[in-house]
Amino acid sequence: MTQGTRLGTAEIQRLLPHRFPMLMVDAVSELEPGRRCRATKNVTINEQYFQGHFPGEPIMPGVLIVECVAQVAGIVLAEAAAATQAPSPAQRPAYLLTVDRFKFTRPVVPGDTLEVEVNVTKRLGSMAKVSGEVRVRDEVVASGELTVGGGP
Amino acid sequence: MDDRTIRDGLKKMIVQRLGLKIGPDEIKDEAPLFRDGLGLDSVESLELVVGIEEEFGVVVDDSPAARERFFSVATLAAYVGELLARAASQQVSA
Repeated sequence: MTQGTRLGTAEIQRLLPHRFPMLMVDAVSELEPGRRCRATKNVTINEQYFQGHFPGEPIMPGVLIVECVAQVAGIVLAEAAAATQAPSPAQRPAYLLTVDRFKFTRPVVPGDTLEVEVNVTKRLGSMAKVSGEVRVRDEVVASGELTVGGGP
Repeated sequence: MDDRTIRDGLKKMIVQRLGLKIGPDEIKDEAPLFRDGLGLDSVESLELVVGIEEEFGVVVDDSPAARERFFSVATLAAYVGELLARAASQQVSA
């Protein structure tokens, strides 16, 4: 697939093994396999964690924003693996290996749409380092780096 | 860049980049980097690759053969030396 590729939920679920309540990517707007991906996640008051995080003041937990970035990274790598005829991504999910230099600069609340951009900075075997930036209405709400990789 | 300079540069980079609580001089040239030696893990190998590329301005091959060169500081320095020579010859021919 080439730049400008748009993926919906059915295609995303072919690339990621995640399912309810842990599938945290709603749509992919741009995808260059093995290189970069832009995707969105809509945040609604129906998310179960808002009941307790926090009562009366719903804020999306930062670790779940990290998870969202990790899943977008998984899509970049899964599509790259599919292109090179590697084992299907459902058999070899990308595991989270490191979380580096993450910053959360604004709270994410119900009604926000996370616009996630992931760029692969280095690949080595089944591992990849990626940088991620998350925006809401063009403002950066979180950024950082992750290492993700194939299973043991 | 001679072998000694590369070895010292590697040790300094390894300690800084991986946040090791030892001095660069405490890393022995011939000691294994992984497991029984320095005790690095596979995730840190990727960090090492990125560090080498930034520090020395070379591109590390993504191949099993290249991975075997990551045994010790001595073997890694020899590999980085080859990469530097390769980069220099490409500049001449380009």
